[in-house]
Amino acid sequence: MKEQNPIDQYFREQLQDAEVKPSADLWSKMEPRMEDRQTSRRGWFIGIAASIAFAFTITAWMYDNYQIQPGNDGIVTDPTEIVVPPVIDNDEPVKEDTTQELENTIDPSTIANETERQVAPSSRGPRVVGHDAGQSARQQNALNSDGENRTYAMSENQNTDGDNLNSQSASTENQNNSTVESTRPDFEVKIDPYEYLAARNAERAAAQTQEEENERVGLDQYALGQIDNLVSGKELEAPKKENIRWPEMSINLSPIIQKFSPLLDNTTTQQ
Amino acid sequence: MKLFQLNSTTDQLIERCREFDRKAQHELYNRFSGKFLAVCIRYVKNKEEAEEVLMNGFIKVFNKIEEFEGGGSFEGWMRKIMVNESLNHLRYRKNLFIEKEDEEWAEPHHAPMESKETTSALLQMIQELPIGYRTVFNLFAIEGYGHREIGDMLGIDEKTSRSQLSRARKILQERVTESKYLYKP
Repeated sequence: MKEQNPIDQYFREQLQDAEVKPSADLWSKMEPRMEDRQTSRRGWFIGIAASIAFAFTITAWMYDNYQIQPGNDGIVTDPTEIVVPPVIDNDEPVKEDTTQELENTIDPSTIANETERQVAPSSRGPRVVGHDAGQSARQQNALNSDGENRTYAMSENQNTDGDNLNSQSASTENQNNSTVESTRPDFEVKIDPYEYLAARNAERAAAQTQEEENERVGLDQYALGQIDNLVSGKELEAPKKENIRWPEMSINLSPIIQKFSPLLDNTTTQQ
Repeated sequence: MKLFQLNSTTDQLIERCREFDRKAQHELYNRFSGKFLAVCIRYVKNKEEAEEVLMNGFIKVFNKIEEFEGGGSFEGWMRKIMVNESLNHLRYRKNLFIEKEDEEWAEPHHAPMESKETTSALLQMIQELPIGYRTVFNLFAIEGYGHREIGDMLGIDEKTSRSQLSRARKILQERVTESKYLYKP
Protein backbone atom coordinates (compact mmCIF):
# COMPACT_ATOMS: atom_id res chain seq x y z
CA MET A 1 0.00 0.00 0.00
CA LYS A 2 2.77 2.38 0.95
CA GLU A 3 4.49 1.66 -2.35
CA GLN A 4 1.40 2.79 -4.17
CA ASN A 5 0.92 6.03 -2.37
CA PRO A 6 2.40 8.75 -4.57
CA ILE A 7 2.98 11.20 -1.75
CA ASP A 8 4.95 8.69 0.29
CA GLN A 9 6.89 7.69 -2.75
CA TYR A 10 7.61 11.24 -3.73
CA PHE A 11 8.80 12.27 -0.33
CA ARG A 12 10.84 9.11 0.12
CA GLU A 13 12.59 9.54 -3.18
CA GLN A 14 13.37 13.12 -2.37
CA LEU A 15 14.36 12.76 1.25
CA GLN A 16 15.88 9.28 1.49
CA ASP A 17 19.32 10.49 0.56
CA ALA A 18 18.94 14.10 1.57
CA GLU A 19 21.82 15.68 3.41
CA VAL A 20 21.87 18.54 5.85
CA LYS A 21 25.25 19.89 6.66
CA PRO A 22 25.89 19.89 10.39
CA SER A 23 27.67 22.83 11.96
CA ALA A 24 31.43 22.67 11.63
CA ASP A 25 32.23 22.50 15.31
CA LEU A 26 29.92 19.59 16.02
CA TRP A 27 32.69 17.00 15.94
CA SER A 28 34.84 19.00 18.32
CA LYS A 29 31.84 19.30 20.64
CA MET A 30 31.30 15.58 20.40
CA GLU A 31 34.86 14.40 20.92
CA PRO A 32 35.16 15.08 24.64
CA ARG A 33 31.92 13.22 25.25
CA MET A 34 33.15 10.10 23.55
CA GLU A 35 34.50 7.21 25.57
CA ASP A 36 38.21 7.17 25.17
CA ARG A 37 38.90 3.50 25.35
CA GLN A 38 42.21 3.78 23.58
CA THR A 39 43.69 6.00 26.24
CA SER A 40 42.35 3.70 28.90
CA ARG A 41 44.33 0.90 27.25
CA ARG A 42 47.33 3.18 27.13
CA GLY A 43 46.78 3.88 30.82
CA TRP A 44 46.99 0.18 31.56
CA PHE A 45 50.17 -0.05 29.59
CA ILE A 46 51.71 2.90 31.39
CA GLY A 47 50.74 1.43 34.73
CA ILE A 48 52.36 -1.91 33.96
CA ALA A 49 55.50 -0.26 32.62
CA ALA A 50 55.75 1.92 35.71
CA SER A 51 55.42 -1.04 38.06
CA ILE A 52 58.11 -2.96 36.17
CA ALA A 53 60.43 0.02 36.33
CA PHE A 54 59.71 0.39 40.04
CA ALA A 55 60.50 -3.27 40.70
CA PHE A 56 63.70 -2.94 38.70
CA THR A 57 64.90 0.08 40.63
CA ILE A 58 64.17 -1.62 43.93
CA THR A 59 66.15 -4.68 42.87
CA ALA A 60 69.05 -2.57 41.66
CA TRP A 61 69.07 -0.64 44.92
CA MET A 62 69.04 -3.79 46.98
CA TYR A 63 71.75 -5.35 44.82
CA ASP A 64 73.94 -2.33 45.40
CA ASN A 65 73.35 -2.39 49.12
CA TYR A 66 73.73 -6.05 49.83
CA GLN A 67 76.61 -6.88 47.55
CA ILE A 68 79.69 -8.48 49.19
CA GLN A 69 82.32 -5.88 49.85
CA PRO A 70 84.77 -5.96 46.96
CA GLY A 71 88.55 -5.59 47.16
CA ASN A 72 89.61 -8.91 48.67
CA ASP A 73 87.82 -11.34 46.35
CA GLY A 74 85.94 -12.59 49.36
CA ILE A 75 89.09 -13.87 51.13
CA VAL A 76 88.98 -13.55 54.87
CA THR A 77 91.99 -11.73 56.16
CA ASP A 78 91.98 -12.93 59.76
CA PRO A 79 95.18 -15.06 59.96
CA THR A 80 93.91 -17.39 62.71
CA GLU A 81 91.36 -18.75 60.33
CA ILE A 82 93.79 -19.63 57.57
CA VAL A 83 96.75 -20.92 59.48
CA VAL A 84 96.35 -24.52 58.41
CA PRO A 85 95.45 -24.59 54.71
CA PRO A 86 98.14 -22.32 53.25
CA VAL A 87 100.89 -24.03 55.27
CA ILE A 88 99.97 -27.43 53.93
CA ASP A 89 99.83 -26.06 50.44
CA ASN A 90 103.16 -24.41 50.56
CA ASP A 91 105.08 -26.90 52.57
CA GLU A 92 104.16 -30.00 50.74
CA PRO A 93 106.62 -29.56 47.92
CA VAL A 94 109.20 -28.28 50.37
CA LYS A 95 108.63 -31.07 52.84
CA GLU A 96 109.97 -33.90 50.76
CA ASP A 97 113.05 -32.03 49.77
CA THR A 98 113.97 -30.82 53.18
CA THR A 99 113.23 -34.01 54.99
CA GLN A 100 115.27 -35.98 52.52
CA GLU A 101 118.04 -33.52 52.81
CA LEU A 102 117.85 -33.58 56.54
CA GLU A 103 117.81 -37.33 56.72
CA ASN A 104 120.77 -37.53 54.43
CA THR A 105 122.92 -34.87 55.87
CA ILE A 106 121.90 -33.91 59.33
CA ASP A 107 121.86 -35.88 62.46
CA PRO A 108 118.74 -34.86 64.39
CA SER A 109 120.70 -34.35 67.54
CA THR A 110 122.71 -31.56 65.97
CA ILE A 111 119.55 -29.65 65.22
CA ALA A 112 118.43 -30.03 68.77
CA ASN A 113 121.73 -28.75 69.95
CA GLU A 114 121.46 -25.84 67.62
CA THR A 115 118.09 -24.77 68.86
CA GLU A 116 119.18 -25.12 72.41
CA ARG A 117 122.17 -23.01 71.79
CA GLN A 118 120.20 -20.33 70.00
CA VAL A 119 117.51 -20.12 72.58
CA ALA A 120 119.86 -20.07 75.51
CA PRO A 121 120.85 -16.39 75.35
CA SER A 122 117.26 -15.25 75.73
CA SER A 123 117.22 -17.20 78.96
CA ARG A 124 114.20 -19.26 78.01
CA GLY A 125 113.83 -22.94 78.72
CA PRO A 126 114.22 -25.19 75.71
CA ARG A 127 110.79 -26.67 76.34
CA VAL A 128 109.26 -23.30 75.66
CA VAL A 129 110.65 -23.30 72.19
CA GLY A 130 108.50 -26.20 71.21
CA HIS A 131 105.32 -24.43 72.15
CA ASP A 132 106.36 -21.00 71.04
CA ALA A 133 106.11 -19.26 67.72
CA GLY A 134 102.41 -19.82 67.28
CA GLN A 135 102.95 -23.19 65.76
CA SER A 136 100.41 -25.09 67.74
CA ALA A 137 98.45 -25.88 64.63
CA ARG A 138 101.50 -27.17 62.92
CA GLN A 139 102.36 -29.14 66.00
CA GLN A 140 99.07 -30.92 65.89
CA ASN A 141 99.57 -31.65 62.27
CA ALA A 142 102.95 -33.03 63.04
CA LEU A 143 101.67 -35.22 65.82
CA ASN A 144 98.98 -36.60 63.62
CA SER A 145 101.33 -37.52 60.88
CA ASP A 146 103.99 -38.72 63.24
CA GLY A 147 103.20 -42.37 63.02
CA GLU A 148 103.35 -42.42 59.27
CA ASN A 149 107.02 -41.67 59.21
CA ARG A 150 106.17 -39.09 56.55
CA THR A 151 106.70 -36.11 58.75
CA TYR A 152 106.70 -32.46 58.10
CA ALA A 153 109.90 -30.58 58.38
CA MET A 154 108.62 -28.86 61.43
CA SER A 155 107.60 -32.04 63.17
CA GLU A 156 111.05 -33.37 62.56
CA ASN A 157 112.38 -30.38 64.31
CA GLN A 158 109.95 -30.86 67.14
CA ASN A 159 110.69 -34.49 67.64
CA THR A 160 114.37 -34.04 67.64
CA ASP A 161 113.93 -31.30 70.18
CA GLY A 162 112.12 -33.64 72.48
CA ASP A 163 114.62 -36.45 72.04
CA ASN A 164 117.54 -34.30 72.81
CA LEU A 165 115.96 -32.68 75.77
CA ASN A 166 115.34 -36.04 77.24
CA SER A 167 118.80 -37.37 76.64
CA GLN A 168 120.43 -34.09 77.67
CA SER A 169 123.50 -35.00 75.64
CA ALA A 170 124.67 -33.81 72.27
CA SER A 171 127.70 -34.16 70.14
CA THR A 172 128.20 -31.52 67.53
CA GLU A 173 130.22 -31.48 64.35
CA ASN A 174 131.26 -28.25 62.79
CA GLN A 175 130.57 -29.45 59.31
CA ASN A 176 127.07 -30.43 60.18
CA ASN A 177 126.56 -27.22 62.01
CA SER A 178 127.50 -25.21 59.01
CA THR A 179 125.17 -27.20 56.80
CA VAL A 180 122.40 -26.77 59.27
CA GLU A 181 122.87 -23.08 59.40
CA SER A 182 122.88 -22.87 55.66
CA THR A 183 119.65 -24.79 55.35
CA ARG A 184 118.00 -23.25 58.30
CA PRO A 185 116.91 -19.77 57.11
CA ASP A 186 114.94 -21.16 54.18
CA PHE A 187 113.35 -23.61 56.37
CA GLU A 188 112.20 -21.14 58.99
CA VAL A 189 110.89 -18.57 56.57
CA LYS A 190 108.73 -21.07 54.85
CA ILE A 191 107.31 -22.40 58.00
CA ASP A 192 106.52 -19.32 60.02
CA PRO A 193 102.85 -18.78 59.29
CA TYR A 194 102.49 -15.33 60.74
CA GLU A 195 105.33 -13.77 58.89
CA TYR A 196 104.40 -15.61 55.79
CA LEU A 197 100.76 -14.79 55.92
CA ALA A 198 101.32 -11.21 56.90
CA ALA A 199 103.71 -10.73 54.06
CA ARG A 200 101.46 -12.51 51.67
CA ASN A 201 98.37 -10.62 52.68
CA ALA A 202 100.22 -7.33 52.48
CA GLU A 203 101.47 -8.27 49.05
CA ARG A 204 98.09 -9.33 47.97
CA ALA A 205 96.46 -6.17 49.26
CA ALA A 206 99.12 -4.03 47.63
CA ALA A 207 98.70 -5.89 44.38
CA GLN A 208 95.00 -5.50 44.60
CA THR A 209 95.03 -1.79 45.18
CA GLN A 210 97.54 -1.51 42.38
CA GLU A 211 95.33 -3.56 40.16
CA GLU A 212 92.30 -1.54 41.04
CA GLU A 213 94.03 1.68 40.22
CA ASN A 214 95.36 0.24 37.02
CA GLU A 215 92.10 -1.32 36.02
CA ARG A 216 90.03 1.70 36.67
CA VAL A 217 89.20 2.73 33.16
CA GLY A 218 86.98 5.39 31.69
CA LEU A 219 83.84 4.16 30.01
CA ASP A 220 85.00 5.37 26.62
CA GLN A 221 88.24 3.41 26.89
CA TYR A 222 86.33 0.43 28.07
CA ALA A 223 84.02 0.65 25.09
CA LEU A 224 87.00 0.89 22.72
CA GLY A 225 88.54 -2.15 24.36
CA GLN A 226 85.34 -4.06 23.91
CA ILE A 227 85.21 -3.10 20.26
CA ASP A 228 88.76 -4.47 19.88
CA ASN A 229 87.64 -7.65 21.59
CA LEU A 230 84.67 -7.86 19.31
CA VAL A 231 86.75 -7.38 16.21
CA SER A 232 89.34 -9.94 17.25
CA GLY A 233 86.65 -12.39 18.25
CA LYS A 234 87.49 -12.54 21.93
CA GLU A 235 84.89 -12.71 24.64
CA LEU A 236 83.46 -9.46 25.85
CA GLU A 237 84.18 -8.52 29.44
CA ALA A 238 81.58 -7.00 31.64
CA PRO A 239 83.08 -4.15 33.64
CA LYS A 240 82.88 -4.22 37.40
CA LYS A 241 81.33 -1.19 38.89
CA GLU A 242 84.45 -0.36 40.89
CA ASN A 243 86.65 -0.66 37.81
CA ILE A 244 84.97 2.14 35.99
CA ARG A 245 86.33 5.60 36.29
CA TRP A 246 83.17 7.58 36.41
CA PRO A 247 83.26 11.01 34.85
CA GLU A 248 83.57 13.62 37.49
CA MET A 249 80.70 15.97 37.52
CA SER A 250 79.59 18.76 39.73
CA ILE A 251 76.82 21.24 39.57
CA ASN A 252 77.50 24.69 40.80
CA LEU A 253 74.40 25.75 42.63
CA SER A 254 75.75 29.00 43.98
CA PRO A 255 74.52 31.24 41.11
CA ILE A 256 71.06 29.83 41.53
CA ILE A 257 71.18 30.33 45.24
CA GLN A 258 72.52 33.81 44.79
CA LYS A 259 69.80 34.61 42.33
CA PHE A 260 67.17 33.96 44.91
CA SER A 261 68.88 34.88 48.10
CA PRO A 262 69.42 38.65 47.51
CA LEU A 263 65.69 39.25 47.53
CA LEU A 264 65.44 37.65 50.91
CA ASP A 265 68.59 39.46 52.11
CA ASN A 266 67.31 42.85 50.98
CA THR A 267 63.98 42.46 52.56
CA THR A 268 65.46 41.30 55.80
CA THR A 269 68.07 44.04 55.92
CA GLN A 270 65.60 46.75 54.98
CA GLN A 271 63.25 45.67 57.59
CA MET B 1 47.62 8.46 2.70
CA LYS B 2 44.71 10.79 2.35
CA LEU B 3 43.72 9.12 -0.90
CA PHE B 4 43.96 5.72 0.67
CA GLN B 5 41.74 6.80 3.52
CA LEU B 6 39.17 8.24 1.16
CA ASN B 7 39.10 5.03 -0.79
CA SER B 8 38.91 2.78 2.22
CA THR B 9 35.68 0.86 2.25
CA THR B 10 33.08 1.11 4.94
CA ASP B 11 34.03 -2.38 6.10
CA GLN B 12 37.60 -1.29 6.73
CA LEU B 13 36.28 1.77 8.48
CA ILE B 14 34.07 -0.37 10.68
CA GLU B 15 36.98 -2.60 11.59
CA ARG B 16 39.03 0.38 12.60
CA CYS B 17 36.10 1.83 14.52
CA ARG B 18 35.83 -1.43 16.42
CA GLU B 19 39.34 -0.73 17.72
CA PHE B 20 38.20 2.74 18.75
CA ASP B 21 40.50 4.36 16.23
CA ARG B 22 39.69 8.02 16.63
CA LYS B 23 40.63 8.86 13.04
CA ALA B 24 38.33 6.19 11.68
CA GLN B 25 35.53 7.44 13.88
CA HIS B 26 36.03 10.94 12.55
CA GLU B 27 35.96 9.67 9.00
CA LEU B 28 32.77 7.73 9.65
CA TYR B 29 31.29 10.88 11.09
CA ASN B 30 32.34 12.92 8.08
CA ARG B 31 30.86 10.37 5.75
CA PHE B 32 27.46 10.01 7.37
CA SER B 33 26.77 13.09 9.48
CA GLY B 34 25.05 15.00 6.66
CA LYS B 35 22.75 12.14 5.82
CA PHE B 36 21.81 11.41 9.39
CA LEU B 37 21.31 15.03 10.31
CA ALA B 38 18.74 15.08 7.52
CA VAL B 39 17.08 12.12 9.25
CA CYS B 40 17.15 13.69 12.70
CA ILE B 41 15.91 17.02 11.49
CA ARG B 42 12.78 15.40 10.05
CA TYR B 43 11.83 14.30 13.54
CA VAL B 44 13.30 17.11 15.57
CA LYS B 45 12.48 20.43 14.01
CA ASN B 46 15.12 22.57 15.66
CA LYS B 47 18.49 22.20 13.97
CA GLU B 48 20.47 22.59 17.18
CA GLU B 49 18.40 19.94 18.89
CA ALA B 50 18.74 17.73 15.85
CA GLU B 51 22.50 18.13 16.05
CA GLU B 52 22.44 17.11 19.66
CA VAL B 53 20.42 14.05 18.72
CA LEU B 54 22.90 13.32 15.94
CA MET B 55 25.74 13.61 18.40
CA ASN B 56 24.14 11.21 20.86
CA GLY B 57 23.40 8.87 17.99
CA PHE B 58 27.00 8.84 16.82
CA ILE B 59 28.30 8.29 20.34
CA LYS B 60 25.94 5.34 20.62
CA VAL B 61 27.14 4.03 17.27
CA PHE B 62 30.77 4.24 18.32
CA ASN B 63 30.21 2.63 21.70
CA LYS B 64 27.92 -0.11 20.48
CA ILE B 65 29.78 -0.88 17.30
CA GLU B 66 30.79 -4.23 18.77
CA GLU B 67 27.12 -5.20 18.77
CA PHE B 68 26.85 -4.70 15.03
CA GLU B 69 27.02 -8.00 13.23
CA GLY B 70 28.34 -7.86 9.73
CA GLY B 71 25.15 -9.39 8.28
CA GLY B 72 22.96 -6.36 7.58
CA SER B 73 23.68 -2.95 6.18
CA PHE B 74 25.78 -0.83 8.47
CA GLU B 75 24.09 2.32 7.26
CA GLY B 76 20.70 0.83 8.00
CA TRP B 77 21.87 -0.10 11.50
CA MET B 78 23.13 3.41 12.10
CA ARG B 79 19.93 4.90 10.70
CA LYS B 80 17.92 2.81 13.12
CA ILE B 81 19.98 4.15 15.98
CA MET B 82 19.47 7.72 14.78
CA VAL B 83 15.73 7.24 14.47
CA ASN B 84 15.56 5.75 17.95
CA GLU B 85 17.55 8.63 19.34
CA SER B 86 15.19 11.08 17.66
CA LEU B 87 12.15 9.32 19.05
CA ASN B 88 13.70 9.29 22.51
CA HIS B 89 14.33 12.97 22.22
CA LEU B 90 10.73 13.60 21.20
CA ARG B 91 9.44 11.36 23.95
CA TYR B 92 11.42 12.91 26.79
CA ARG B 93 11.88 16.49 25.69
CA LYS B 94 8.78 17.19 23.69
CA ASN B 95 6.29 15.00 25.48
CA LEU B 96 5.39 13.19 22.34
CA PHE B 97 1.82 12.18 22.85
CA ILE B 98 -0.48 11.14 20.10
CA GLU B 99 -4.15 11.24 20.86
CA LYS B 100 -5.93 8.02 20.38
CA GLU B 101 -8.26 8.09 17.40
CA ASP B 102 -10.92 5.54 16.92
CA GLU B 103 -12.36 7.23 13.91
CA GLU B 104 -11.51 5.44 10.69
CA TRP B 105 -9.97 7.80 8.26
CA ALA B 106 -11.01 7.31 4.69
CA GLU B 107 -7.98 7.30 2.52
CA PRO B 108 -8.55 9.74 -0.33
CA HIS B 109 -7.15 9.09 -3.71
CA HIS B 110 -3.91 10.88 -4.37
CA ALA B 111 -2.90 11.96 -7.79
CA PRO B 112 0.67 11.16 -8.88
CA MET B 113 3.08 13.86 -7.83
CA GLU B 114 4.32 16.01 -10.63
CA SER B 115 5.95 18.87 -8.82
CA LYS B 116 9.69 19.26 -8.59
CA GLU B 117 10.22 20.71 -5.17
CA THR B 118 13.63 21.27 -3.73
CA THR B 119 14.67 18.90 -0.99
CA SER B 120 14.80 21.64 1.60
CA ALA B 121 11.26 22.72 0.70
CA LEU B 122 9.98 19.19 1.20
CA LEU B 123 11.88 18.96 4.43
CA GLN B 124 10.29 22.16 5.58
CA MET B 125 6.85 20.85 4.72
CA ILE B 126 7.42 17.81 6.88
CA GLN B 127 8.81 19.87 9.71
CA GLU B 128 5.73 22.05 9.70
CA LEU B 129 3.46 19.08 10.29
CA PRO B 130 2.12 18.55 13.81
CA ILE B 131 4.42 16.35 15.86
CA GLY B 132 2.26 13.21 15.71
CA TYR B 133 1.62 13.35 11.99
CA ARG B 134 5.22 14.11 11.32
CA THR B 135 6.57 11.22 13.33
CA VAL B 136 4.24 8.68 11.85
CA PHE B 137 4.76 9.94 8.33
CA ASN B 138 8.53 9.83 8.73
CA LEU B 139 8.50 6.34 10.13
CA PHE B 140 6.03 4.94 7.64
CA ALA B 141 6.71 6.72 4.40
CA ILE B 142 10.43 7.37 4.54
CA GLU B 143 11.92 4.86 6.99
CA GLY B 144 9.52 2.19 5.76
CA TYR B 145 8.22 0.78 9.05
CA GLY B 146 4.82 -0.95 9.14
CA HIS B 147 1.95 0.35 11.21
CA ARG B 148 2.35 -2.38 13.79
CA GLU B 149 6.03 -1.52 14.35
CA ILE B 150 5.18 2.17 14.53
CA GLY B 151 2.44 1.40 17.03
CA ASP B 152 4.94 -0.49 19.21
CA MET B 153 7.56 2.21 18.91
CA LEU B 154 5.28 5.06 19.79
CA GLY B 155 2.97 3.20 22.11
CA ILE B 156 -0.14 3.83 20.03
CA ASP B 157 -2.75 1.76 18.24
CA GLU B 158 -2.20 0.54 14.75
CA LYS B 159 -5.41 2.34 13.87
CA THR B 160 -4.17 5.59 15.31
CA SER B 161 -1.01 5.26 13.31
CA ARG B 162 -2.98 4.79 10.14
CA SER B 163 -5.16 7.83 10.69
CA GLN B 164 -2.20 10.00 11.64
CA LEU B 165 -0.51 8.96 8.42
CA SER B 166 -3.56 9.79 6.34
CA ARG B 167 -3.86 13.21 7.88
CA ALA B 168 -0.20 13.85 7.27
CA ARG B 169 -0.53 12.82 3.64
CA LYS B 170 -3.50 15.07 3.16
CA ILE B 171 -1.69 18.09 4.55
CA LEU B 172 1.38 17.40 2.50
CA GLN B 173 -0.63 16.98 -0.66
CA GLU B 174 -2.20 20.35 -0.08
CA ARG B 175 1.15 21.97 0.56
CA VAL B 176 2.68 20.52 -2.57
CA THR B 177 -0.18 21.63 -4.77
CA GLU B 178 -0.13 25.05 -3.11
CA SER B 179 3.53 25.49 -3.76
CA LYS B 180 3.05 24.73 -7.43
CA TYR B 181 1.19 28.00 -7.83
CA LEU B 182 3.46 30.03 -5.63
CA TYR B 183 6.07 32.28 -7.06
CA LYS B 184 9.51 30.77 -6.87
CA PRO B 185 12.55 32.87 -7.51
